[in-house]
Parts: sequence; structure tokens; C-alpha cells
Amino acid sequence: MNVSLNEIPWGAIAPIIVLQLILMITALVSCIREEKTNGPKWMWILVILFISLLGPVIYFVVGRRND
Amino acid sequence: MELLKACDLAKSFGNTHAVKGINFHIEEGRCVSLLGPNGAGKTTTLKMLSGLLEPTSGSIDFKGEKAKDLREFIGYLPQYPAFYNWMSGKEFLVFAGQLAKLNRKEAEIRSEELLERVGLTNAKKRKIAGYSGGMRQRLGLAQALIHRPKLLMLDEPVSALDPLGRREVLDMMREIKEETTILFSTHVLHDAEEISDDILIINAGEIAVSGSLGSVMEKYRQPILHIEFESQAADWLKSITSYSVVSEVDIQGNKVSIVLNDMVNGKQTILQDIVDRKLPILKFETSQTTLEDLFMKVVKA
Amino acid sequence: MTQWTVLYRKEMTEMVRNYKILWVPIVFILLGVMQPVSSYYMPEILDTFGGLPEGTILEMPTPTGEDVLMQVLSNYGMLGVLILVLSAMGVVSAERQSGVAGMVMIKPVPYSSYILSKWAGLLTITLITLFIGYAASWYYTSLLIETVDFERIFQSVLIYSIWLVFVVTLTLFFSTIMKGNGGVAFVTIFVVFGLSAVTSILGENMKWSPAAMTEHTGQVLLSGEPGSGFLLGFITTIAIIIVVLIASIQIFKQKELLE
Ligand SMILES: Nc1ncnc2c1ncn2[C@@H]1O[C@H](COP(=O)(O)OP(=O)(O)OP(=O)(O)O)[C@@H](O)[C@H]1O
Ligand SMILES: [Mg+2]
Repeated sequence: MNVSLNEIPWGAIAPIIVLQLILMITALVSCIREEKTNGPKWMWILVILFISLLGPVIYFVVGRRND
Repeated sequence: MELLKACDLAKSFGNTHAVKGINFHIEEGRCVSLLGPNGAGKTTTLKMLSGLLEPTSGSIDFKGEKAKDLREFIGYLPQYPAFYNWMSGKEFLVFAGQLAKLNRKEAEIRSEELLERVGLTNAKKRKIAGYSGGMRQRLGLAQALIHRPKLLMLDEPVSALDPLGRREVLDMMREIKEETTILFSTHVLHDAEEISDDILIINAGEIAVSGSLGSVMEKYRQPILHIEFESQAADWLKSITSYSVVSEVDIQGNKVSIVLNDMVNGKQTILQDIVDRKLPILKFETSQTTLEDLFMKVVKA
Repeated sequence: MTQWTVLYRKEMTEMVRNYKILWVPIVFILLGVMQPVSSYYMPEILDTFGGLPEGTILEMPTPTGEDVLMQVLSNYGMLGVLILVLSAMGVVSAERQSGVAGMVMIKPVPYSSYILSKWAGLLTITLITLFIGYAASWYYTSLLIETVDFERIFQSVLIYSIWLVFVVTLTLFFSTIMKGNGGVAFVTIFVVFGLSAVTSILGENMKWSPAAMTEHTGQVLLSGEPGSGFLLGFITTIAIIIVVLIASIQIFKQKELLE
């Protein structure tokens, strides 16, 4: 039942993780630099950090004020 | 020379007749103020002249020809200017300049020039999002001037500013009017009196009074007496309305303003009355009606 | 430099500053590569976490590379379209709401330049996103499953891009005629998914429909040839895009731009 670490195909998985990280960091940077977000900033930071993939996307779509 | 002429210009929004067929013209090189209370139709008029709002009827002539698209010749500062808040002040000006057909180089040079002029040089690299109301207004003025327009239209350029900001913008306008024809709307009469050459008073979509500031003041000027009593003198005030020299009596508590038809005779008659009746007065002052008095009269009529 | 170029450059700068040029492609890459990865590891995943009864024989044919890429495109058709529409919904409406559209149009800018610069901006991000995402997906598929003929990939992505161009053109249109961003997204999604559903239900009668492009994409992947009626669908889609653009420009002209 247990998968050993060696069996995880890092070559294929690593780029995915890296991209997710870039997405997350971009969203965080954007959120922190933004003067004002729709809704409290701390909530968006939590959303970005803890909902993988979807969190940053939701932030970019509804959290940012577009002006 | 006549720069712009509006003929029977009208605009309706459904059943609201915002502007009801007005006629006026603007001479080149003049500074014209468009005065009117809230909802008079000032913004609607300016928008039609700018070409961004289609008139319901009527026409606009520019330099004697039917105007098609005047935007090239007009600089416009809206009542509530908006910007791309993610741009810096300078970026926005260069952008606006290029939209007005300057090439990049010209736009850059002109932007620097105007930033200096409106006092934003130190803030030129900052994001517009962080600008104060006064700074936004000055940036708005700069973008309106970017392409050296023939006619500068400003919609309530100072209404939203504090006394200091208002002073700054008025001083800038005074400079600008040396080079460009200006049409600006306001409901601050003092500003109009201070810098405009011509005035247009508009009320409920119609022009009530128009002409050069001097001639309008001359024409509508009336002598006025301000008297302050120790106690109310209502009975006597009621009686003087029947005098032929008195045209209007406006009572406010112990104070009264009496508009006269003739200063010399009027003053004589009133003073005589006061002496005869031993009315207890604190103050007796003679003056002339101001633009504000005229405005009030027009708007209330 | 024409005003169109100035406006287009502004669109691109804005996308860089608000990171759209980064996050939309990344999401498409992730959507694109997760499919081959999960197809490849599905048996193992089931084995490890599925808790299948002892002795169950897994009758799971390994999907072909074409199947995986079809699945990727179908993900793009749902989530991808949703994300594109949501990221583009404010393209005109937000600028009208803030009043900055009026600040632009008060300069001697042709109304068509404004709308067409917006359109070109949307096209740029959409095509970059689709090509990068699909290329990543193709790479992963050939790494983990099998190599799919490049020509088929290329043709299918071209056909698919016509569908996405249609989708963003529609977004631009609704963003021009409506003011609320949410409403724009809702109506666009409703029309796009509605059209897709009707097209797949009615099939034969809807060969002209832009949504038929997605079916041709699949056909090209599987057989190397688009299905019958491709040309008809292609021509009507292009025609609809042009008509919608012209309508957007005309409607934009009528809108009150300064508050
Ligand atoms: N888009 C519109 N739809 C309907 N009515 C409008 C519209 N724009 C203006 N009006 C109406 O037209 C009239 C004149 O409006 P306008 O904005 O020109 O007044 P204004 O003189 O600029 O007033 P203010 O001093 O408040 O700016 C008002 O009664 C207003 O309600
Ligand atoms: Mg107004």
C-alpha cells in the first residue's frame, strides 16, 4: 500500500509542481502589491496558499480590481 | 473671430429634456464660463460640444463650418476624470498624446513640459492609483492640453478640490487662457467672476443670460442697500415695498437687503424714513448687486 | 504609429502588469499536462488508492495519445473556456464603468481602433495560451504515452483556435453592450455552452455552427482529416466573427462614454 519516494516519477511531476508554485507566487505578489482587493486581503492570501491551482485563479478573476 | 457656434442644440433623455435648444457662440481667445445650478444641463452641453454625445437636434459649427469630428481640436477634462490606475502619470500623458496623433518623441517632450506646468514632475513615475484628488485633477488638465487644443473644455474643474487645490487650478487656468480658448462649467460664481471674460448662465436646459462679464454686470447691475436693525422692523419694511424706487426687499431676520431702481433717490427716501421713524439701525451700507445676486434671481425665476 | 498600435501596446502592457500574460498560459499548461500524467498513472493510482477487491483484473485499455489529447481539448472546452471568458469579461465593460473609455475616446481615436485593439489583445493572449498549453500537453503525451503525429497536432490546434477566437470575440461583444462584468461572463458562458450543446445534439443540422469546430478538431486528431462540412463551418464561423466585431463597433459608438 505504500509508495516509496523513488517510485514517484519526479521528471514528470517536478515541472508541474514548479508551475503551480509560480502561479501561487505570482498571485501572492499581485495580491500584496495591490492597493485594494475585492474583499479582505488576508482572506485572499489564505485562498491562494491553501487552494492549489484554483485558489490563484479565483483570486485573479474576482479578487483583483480591474482598473 | 468666432470659434464655435451652437445652433438650437438640444438633448433629451427619454422624457427628460436636459438641454432645450440653446444658441450661443464662443469667440476665439476668450475664457467662457458656463454657469448653472445642479442639473441645469452643463455637462450635457459640454459633452455634445465634445462630440461624445450625439445631440437630439441642432448643430455645432466650428470656425464657420459644420462640425463633424471636433475631437482633434478639443481638450476635455470631464467632471470625474478617470485614468488607467496602473499607469504612472507620465505614462498616461504620453499615451494620451499618442492617441491625439503626436509621435512618441513629441508626446514625451510635451508630457514633461505639462508635468512641470501642473506641478506633477516629482510624482510622474508614481502609479496614478496613489494620486490624490487634486493630483488627478491636475493630471486631467495636463491630458486635456497635451495636443495643444484650440478649445479647452473643463467640466467643473475646481468643484471637487479643497481651497488650496482650487487656487492652484484657477491659477493654471489663468495662465492657459493666454494661449487657448477656454469653456468651463462651474457653479462657483466667484471663480467665474474671477477669471472669465464671458459668461453663459444656463438654467433648466435654457440659456438665461449671456454676454461678456462686464456687459452682463453692467446690464443687470442694480444698487442695493444692506441695513441691519437692532430689532425686527417688519411693519416698516412691508410699507416700503410700495415705494417706486424700491424694486425688491429681501428680509433675513434683523437684516434686510433692498434692491433699488435708483441709488440717489432711493437712499434719500429710505434714510429719511429711518430718521422720521427713529428706527434703531446698527448698520447701513450701499453696494451693487453681484453675479451671485443675478444668478440667484435667474435660477429662482 | 497609428492609434491602433498605441492602444494595442497598452493592452499588452496591461496584461504584463496584471500578470495575465503569465497566469492564463500557466493554467492552460497545467490543464494540458495533468491529463497525460493522470492517464499514465491511472492504473497505479487505482492500484494504490482505489482499494479494489483482491483479484480484480483491471480491464483498462491504455488510452492512445490521440485519446489523451482529445481529453485535453475537452478540458479546454470546459474549464479553459470558462477561464478565458472570466479573464476577458471586463475588457470593455470595466473601462466603461470606470470612465476611462471616455478619456480615450475624447481623443480623436476611431471607434473601430478601440474595439479592434481590444480584440487583437484578446487574440494574442488566447492564441499564446492555447499554443503553449497544447504544446506542453503534446510533449507530455509523447513522453508518457506515445508520440502523436505533429501534422495532426498542428492542424487540430489551428482548427481549435478558431473556436476560441469565436469565444473571445463573443466575450468582447457582450462586454461592449453590457456594463456589469459578472453579467458579461454569465451571458457569454450561457451562449457558448448553449451553442455547444445544441450543436452536439442536432449534429447534422448544425454543420455551420462555430461549435462544430471542436468536433472537427477531434476528427483531425483521430483520422488526420476534418469531418464533412468543415468548410461550411469554417466560413460561417469567420463570417459570424466579422459580423459580431462590426456590431460591437457600431454599438460602442452609440454608448454614452463619459459620466
Ligand atoms: N444619461 C442620462 N440619462 C438620463 N438623464 C440624464 C442623463 N444625463 C443627464 N441627465 C439629466 O439631464 C439633466 C442635466 O444633466 P447635466 O449632467 O447636464 O447637469 P449639470 O448641469 O452638469 O449638473 P451638475 O452641476 O450636477 O453636474 C439632469 O436632469 C439629469 O438628470
Ligand atoms: Mg455636470
